[in-house]
Amino acid sequence: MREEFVRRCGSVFFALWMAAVVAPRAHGQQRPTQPDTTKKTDSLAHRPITLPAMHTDTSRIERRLFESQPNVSTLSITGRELRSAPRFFAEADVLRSLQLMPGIEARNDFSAGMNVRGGEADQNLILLDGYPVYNPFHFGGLFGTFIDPAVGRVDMLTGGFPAPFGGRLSSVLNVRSAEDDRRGIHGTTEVSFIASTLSLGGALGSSGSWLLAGRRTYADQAINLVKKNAFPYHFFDLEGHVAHTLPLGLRFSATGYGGDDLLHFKSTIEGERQHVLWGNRVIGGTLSRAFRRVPSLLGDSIVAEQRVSQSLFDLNTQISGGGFSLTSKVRDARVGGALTAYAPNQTRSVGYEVAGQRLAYSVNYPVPLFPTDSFRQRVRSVSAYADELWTPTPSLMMEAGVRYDAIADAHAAAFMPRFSVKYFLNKDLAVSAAFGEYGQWIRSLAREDIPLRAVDYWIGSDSVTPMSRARHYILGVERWVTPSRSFRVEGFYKRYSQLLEPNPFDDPQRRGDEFLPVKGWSTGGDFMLRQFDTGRFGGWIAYTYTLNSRVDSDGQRFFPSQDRRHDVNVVGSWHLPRYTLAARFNLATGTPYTRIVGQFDRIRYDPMSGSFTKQNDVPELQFLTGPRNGERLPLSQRLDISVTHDWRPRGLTITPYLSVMNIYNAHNVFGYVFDYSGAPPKRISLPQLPIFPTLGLSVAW
Amino acid sequence: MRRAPVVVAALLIAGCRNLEDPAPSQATRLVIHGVLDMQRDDQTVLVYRARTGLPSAVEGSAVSDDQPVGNAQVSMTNPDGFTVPADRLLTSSGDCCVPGIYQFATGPFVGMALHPGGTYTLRILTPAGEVVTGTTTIPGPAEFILDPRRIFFRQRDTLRLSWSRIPGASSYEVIIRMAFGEYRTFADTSFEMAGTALTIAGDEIFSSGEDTDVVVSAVDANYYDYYRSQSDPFAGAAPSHLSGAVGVFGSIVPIYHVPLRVR
Repeated sequence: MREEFVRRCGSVFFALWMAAVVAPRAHGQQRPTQPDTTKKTDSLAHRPITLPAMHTDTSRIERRLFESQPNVSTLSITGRELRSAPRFFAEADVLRSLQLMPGIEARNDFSAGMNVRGGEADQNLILLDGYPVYNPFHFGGLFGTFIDPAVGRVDMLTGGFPAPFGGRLSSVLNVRSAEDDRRGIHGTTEVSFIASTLSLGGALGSSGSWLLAGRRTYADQAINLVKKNAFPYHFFDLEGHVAHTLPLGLRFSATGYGGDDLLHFKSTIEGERQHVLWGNRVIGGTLSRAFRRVPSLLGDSIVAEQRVSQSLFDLNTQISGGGFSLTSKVRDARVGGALTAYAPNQTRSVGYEVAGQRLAYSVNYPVPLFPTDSFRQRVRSVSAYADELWTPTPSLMMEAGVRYDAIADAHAAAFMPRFSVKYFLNKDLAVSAAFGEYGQWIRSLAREDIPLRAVDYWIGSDSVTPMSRARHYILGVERWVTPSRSFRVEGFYKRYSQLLEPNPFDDPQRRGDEFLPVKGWSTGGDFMLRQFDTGRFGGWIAYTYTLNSRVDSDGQRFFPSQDRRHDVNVVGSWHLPRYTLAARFNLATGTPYTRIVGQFDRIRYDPMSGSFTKQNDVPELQFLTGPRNGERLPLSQRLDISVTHDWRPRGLTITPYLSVMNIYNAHNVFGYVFDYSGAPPKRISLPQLPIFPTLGLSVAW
Repeated sequence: MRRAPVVVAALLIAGCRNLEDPAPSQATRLVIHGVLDMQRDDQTVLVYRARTGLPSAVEGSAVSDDQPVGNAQVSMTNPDGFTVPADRLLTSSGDCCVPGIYQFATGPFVGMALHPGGTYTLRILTPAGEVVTGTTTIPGPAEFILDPRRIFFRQRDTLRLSWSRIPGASSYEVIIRMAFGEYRTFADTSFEMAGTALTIAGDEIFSSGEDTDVVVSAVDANYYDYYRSQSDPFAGAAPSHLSGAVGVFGSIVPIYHVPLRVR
C-alpha cells in the first residue's frame, strides 16, 4: 500500500540541503567551515562542533489528501495555520478561524457557531478526536471551547462526506488533539486580556505522547478589584490527550475534555439560588491495531479500530431562587468500530456505531426566546456502513459507500448512499464530484431566526418528529499552482426533506408540536486560493456564495436567516525578521431579518374583576411582523490585525502580541429594534463588535 | 508614537454614529380583545389599532396606548343564529362614548344569555370598512366552587389544587392574585406550588400577612393559544384565531376560587 502510494503519487519526498555551517556574520557570507583535522583530538572533544544545517521537507497533508482521496469539500488545517489568523478578543479560537474558510459562515460577530453551505447551525457534527461535543461554545457563543495550543489539526468536511460520518445534515468538524512526541516536557503558556492558557506535553515512552491543557478566564477577578461582583462570569476548559503504543502492536489513544461556563448573580436574599451554569464533559478512548498478515483477498493489511466515548452537556439556570429555572441535559454514550483493509488500489472499510442519548429540557415559566416545553427523551440509534476507495487508474479514484442508520425510538431507518469521484487531468489538476444522502435525528430547539445562539437545547426524533434528510450534489475543481499554493472551487446543491424548525408558539402541554416541517434547498459555490506558509507568507482568500430557500409549514417561501449571499475573507500572515503581521478582512452581505411593522399591548382578562387589565402594569408587548426575513441587514466589513514579536532566550520562545479587532471601527449592524411608541417610529440599529485592541503574551518551550 | 492616541481617537470618532433612524409608518392593524366570561353579566370587547407609526396614536388611554376605534358596528351571534349589537360604554360624565370599548349584556334577564358548550360569533365592522370575525365555543358545563378562606403557612405549606376536566376546555388558567400583582400560569387538571415560591422577578408569590386569591378557570382554545404564547420580535404576535385582526375572541369559565390568608 505504502509503496503504491509513493510510486503513484510521488507525494512523500525528502530534500536535504547543505546550508551554511555557521550563520552569516555581519561582514557577509562565509564559506562553510571545514573541520580542522590538524587540531589535537583531545581539544576537539571539548569544543562544540557546528554541524551543517539540515532542511527536511515533505509534502503537505493537504497535498497528500489531494493525491490520495477524493476529499471533496474537505478542508484540513493545522493548528499553526489556525493560529496565524488574528485573534478574537485576544484568544486564538479554532471555531472563529474556521469561519474564515470557504463555505463556512457565521451569523454575526457574537456567534462562534457555523452555518455551513446554507445549512442550519445545528446541522454540524462537531467532534473532538472523533468524539461528539454538543455545545462547543462559551459565553453565549462568543468563544469556542477548544483550547488553541491543544489543537493539532482540524478536518472540516463541508459537504458530501463519506459513509463513516452520519447523524448531521451539513458538515463534520473533527478537531484533533496535538501530539508532541519530543522528549521532555514542552509547553505553551499564554496570558491575555481575557484568559490564561497552559498547555504541557511531551513524549510518553518511546512511542507515545501526552498532552494536558487548561484555560480560565479571569475578567471576573480583574473587575472584582474595581467593583465587587460587577462581572460574575468566567469559563474554564481542561483537556487531556494521550496516545501510546501498547504491546502486541496495539495503539491506544484517549481524550478527555471538561469545560464550564459559570455565571453567579449576586443574591438579594440569603441562600437564594442565582446562577447560570453550563458545560461539556467528553471522554473517549480508541484502541487500534494493524494486522499485516492477512489473506491476499483483503489486501496488504487490515486496521481494526474500536472506540468508546461518553459526552455530557448540562445547563442549569436558577434565577430568582427558582422563580425561573431552565435546565438542559445531554447524556451521549456510544461505541463504534471499523475494519479497514488496505490493498494497492483499494481501501475498503466497514464499521458500526451504537449510540444512546438521554436528552432532557425543562423550564418552569415561559419566557420569550426560550423553548417552553419540558420533556425527557431517550434516543437509541444503530448505524453501520461500508465504504470503498478504489483507484482503477492513476488518474481516477472513486469512493462509494452506504450508511444505514436506524433510530429505534422514531421507528425510522434509512440506507444512505455516498459517492465521490476524482479525475486527475494532470498531476496538479483534478475535477471531483460527490453525491450523498444524510440523515439527522438529534436537533436543537434553538431557533435559527434568533441571531444570538447561546446554547443548543438538543431533542431527538421520536414517533412524532421524523428524521430529517438532505441530499448533497457537489462538483469541484482543485489545482495546485505550486507546491505551496492551491486553488479550489466547488459548486453545491443541497435539498432538504423533512427538515424541522422549532415552533415558537408550541404548546407546552402538547407533545409533538415542538417543531414545524420545513423543506427547501441551498445552492451556491465557494472557492479558496490558499498560500501555504512557506516561512515568509501564508494565507488565503475564501469566497462563498449561497442561495437558500425554505418553505414553511404554511407553504410560505422565505430566505432562512443564515442566507448570506456573498462572504469574502482575506487572511494573511507575513513573517518579518523579528515580527509577524497578520490580518484578516471580511466583507459579507447582510443576512435576512423580519421587520417589525407594529406593536400592541396584550391585555389580560381578569375573571375576578370581570375586566381587562395590564398584568402588573407592565405591558406585554406584542410584535407585528412583516414578511418573514423579508429584509436584509446592510453589508458588513471588518479588518482585524495582529502583530507578534518572537524572542528566543535560552530555549524559550516568548511572543508578546497586539491584536486589534475591527481596526477602523466599522459599524456593522447586528440587528434592528423598532420603536412604534411615537410618530414617526424609530429604527435603532444594534452594533456588532467595535474596535477592540488586546495585548497578550505567549511563552513556549 | 505620540500620534497613536490621536489616531485611535480619530478612528473612534469616525466610527461613532447615530444609531437611530426614523422608520416609515406601516399599514394599520386592528387588535381585538374579547373574552366571554360565564360568571359575568356583561361581556367586554376592546377594539383598537396597533401602534404602527401613524400620527393619530393616542397617548395615555385608560386601557391601552393603542389607538381605540370608535363607532364600530360590533355584534355577536348566538348558537341559535340570533344576533345582538354591542352597547357603547358611556363616559363617567354620561357622554357617549368611551372609544374602543363595546359591551354585550348577557345577564339572565337582558341581552343574550351565554350557554356552556355554545358557539358564539363576533363580527366587527369599522368605520373604515374593515371586517373582523371570530368564533368561540364556551367550555362547560362546569360547576363553580368557592372555598372558604383558609390559613396558608408559606414556610410550611404547599398549595395543591386539582379539578375535574371540563368539556371543551383547552386548558386551565391559574391566577394567583397577590397584594402587588399576580402570577398566572396554565395547567392541566392539577396545580402545585410551594409556599416559598418566587416569581421570575424574585418576588414572593405568597407574602406573609397578605390575603391571596387563587382562581382556576377553564379556557377555550382561542384564549389558551393567545395568552400562553410569548411574543418576540422574531416570531411575531401570539397566535390569533380572528379573521381580519390580531388578538383574541375567546371564552373563560371560572371553576375554582381559593381565598388564602398567608402567614
